[in-house]
Amino acid sequence: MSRLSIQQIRGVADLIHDTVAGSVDAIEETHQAIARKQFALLKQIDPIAAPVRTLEHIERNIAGGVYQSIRLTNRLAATVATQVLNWLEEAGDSPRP
Amino acid sequence: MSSQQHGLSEPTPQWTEWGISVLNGMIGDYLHHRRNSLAIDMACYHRNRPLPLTTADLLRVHPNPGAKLCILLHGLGCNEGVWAFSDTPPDNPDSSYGTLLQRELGYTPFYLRYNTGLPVADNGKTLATLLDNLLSCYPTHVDDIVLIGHSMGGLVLRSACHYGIRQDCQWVDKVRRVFYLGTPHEGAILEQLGHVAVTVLQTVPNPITQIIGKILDRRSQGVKDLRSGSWLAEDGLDDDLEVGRPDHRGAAPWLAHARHYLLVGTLTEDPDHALTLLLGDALVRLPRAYGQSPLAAGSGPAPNPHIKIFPKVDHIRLAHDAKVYEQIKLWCGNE
Repeated sequence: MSRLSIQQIRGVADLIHDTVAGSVDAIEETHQAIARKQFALLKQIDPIAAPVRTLEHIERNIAGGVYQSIRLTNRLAATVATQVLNWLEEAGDSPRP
Repeated sequence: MSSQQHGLSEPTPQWTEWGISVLNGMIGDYLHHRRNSLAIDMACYHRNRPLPLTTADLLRVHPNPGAKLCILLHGLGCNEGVWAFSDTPPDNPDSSYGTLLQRELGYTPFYLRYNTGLPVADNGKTLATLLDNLLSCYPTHVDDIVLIGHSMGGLVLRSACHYGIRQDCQWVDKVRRVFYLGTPHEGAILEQLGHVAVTVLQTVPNPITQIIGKILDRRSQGVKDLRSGSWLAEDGLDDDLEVGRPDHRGAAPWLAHARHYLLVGTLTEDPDHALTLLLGDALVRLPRAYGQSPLAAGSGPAPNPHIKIFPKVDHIRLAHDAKVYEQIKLWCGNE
């Protein structure tokens, strides 16, 4: 059975980072599109239009914050993975005593 | 640095190489543009390693190089392992069309591995240059080249011949025969259906279907090129092509001085069976006018067309089937 090389693991790590980043963007876009639709419907009812607007604002901020934290975590994980792989590569290259 | 340049000790592609090849087929253009180290660079492969194109390396691999070359090009999401009859290395006796042709007819085989997610035309251009480099460092004079392409590999070969002529490559004049095994000259039904599905999903005004359509649309340009069998950069991207409309943008002649052979499989014994008419070899349908000259819409007749149908040989098996090899050998033996 063959093993993945450091370079291949680096490629997999990059791909996971790209996939998570792309997925978060797509999910946030879809989430917002669905939420906008529901809030637009509710805002047509005059008595609750004002609180719905406030609620929409709060929802957008909370959801935006969650998505942003996932992006930051993803970036952090990618940086850590790069550092670990660099270290492993250097350790592999250095001559043994 | 690319994936194939690292620590591979197995003589044949293992699950990691197969996984990477499949990934390249699916999103290879993305990997290439992102400079991801999983992206495969086109190269000749020997025992699961890229073969440097130097005279010394070629002599190491082929100590008795002949004047006849055989170039084998795999299809979408595959690697040179697809040619193997069994689990033995493709350069072992009896294990692939290449080694059998070497032993029985004196052809020196070279197996290529490439990023099948890139546009077919890009791979064709790269192959044209690579074959020129191969010939320039080949230890002896070459007077006969046979090209064997499986599935998408056949389109890449046509593309390489086209760009080889344009780039005035010396190898093109030496090509005597080109074998297309299950090559979708008229497009692949699976990709045509995929395109319809993506179009419908993206048209429906629903965020969920649109996101699914968006994800499916991320498939590689190599896959999209299979919709109409595009192999010229001038064709533009297949995204612009309407479904069901014949593609006349790829109008370019077949390599005039070479003989072209189409080997196609079917799912059933009877080529006229409804299942075969619908699905062909499971991925590629029979040429519309098999037995006649027009092969691909707009590309004109192939000179001296030869088409052979192999009943009950599915798409992948076309690359490693004893009957298919016997036919290739027969045609290679005919002057």
